[in-house]
Amino acid sequence: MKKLLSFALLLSIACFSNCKVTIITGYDQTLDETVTQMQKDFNLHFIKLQRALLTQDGNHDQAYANFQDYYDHLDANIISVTTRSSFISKKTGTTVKSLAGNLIKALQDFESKHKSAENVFNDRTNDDRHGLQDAINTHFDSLILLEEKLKASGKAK
Amino acid sequence: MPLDFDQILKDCIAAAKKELGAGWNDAAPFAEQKFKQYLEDMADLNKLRADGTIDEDEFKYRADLHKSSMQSVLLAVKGIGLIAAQNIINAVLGIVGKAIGAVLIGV
Repeated sequence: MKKLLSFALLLSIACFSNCKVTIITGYDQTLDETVTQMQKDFNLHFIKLQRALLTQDGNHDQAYANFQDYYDHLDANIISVTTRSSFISKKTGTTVKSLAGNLIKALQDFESKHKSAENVFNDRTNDDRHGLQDAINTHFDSLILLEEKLKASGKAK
Repeated sequence: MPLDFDQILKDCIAAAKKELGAGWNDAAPFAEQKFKQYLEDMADLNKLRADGTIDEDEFKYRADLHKSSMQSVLLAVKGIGLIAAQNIINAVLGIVGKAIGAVLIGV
């Protein structure tokens, strides 16, 4: 009886000492690195595109075909982000999954608008469209920040 | 009547702070900067629409993009709050575990 009680006590100690409550997960090194690189690529792309949008040449230099290489890389990276976020827990990783989904949608919409040459990609000298860059960077920053905090939280344990 | 962006910014920060509680300190610099940027970008966008530079379709696309970006900010802030809560719970469990362990070893 005494042995059984000791075992139960040791089990309680072990449980209180080692059991961790998990409310949120979703750190993925590949996702983190891919998204960080995608943000750098996007900003380089936007700087080039912005220059073209501010040039009055009848919407010629900003044609989608001139930026095809960037969008091919973007589409490949979107596949990677979609795949990596599908590996994250459906129970505790919903915040990261939602952030990845929001980012992907914003980038796909941006590409779609560029491809169909909508007005937002017309030449205009009084509108540098920095707000588009700000908004998409905000999507990137939100996901990258949360990944950093999740990584730091994991290290602290 | 012109919008009082400073007041709106203060109201946004106060609302986020109230919802986030313990995790606010970690998220504050990011959230405040993004709220401010959002309000400035929306003010620019409204000017472009008012002076006829952009049409309604373009305004809608750009405004929706800003709106979804703010949803992402709030999701990140929520996530940071959950990490803070998780860390607090686990720290408390650790302290309780050590205290119980010390008592039991004493027995």
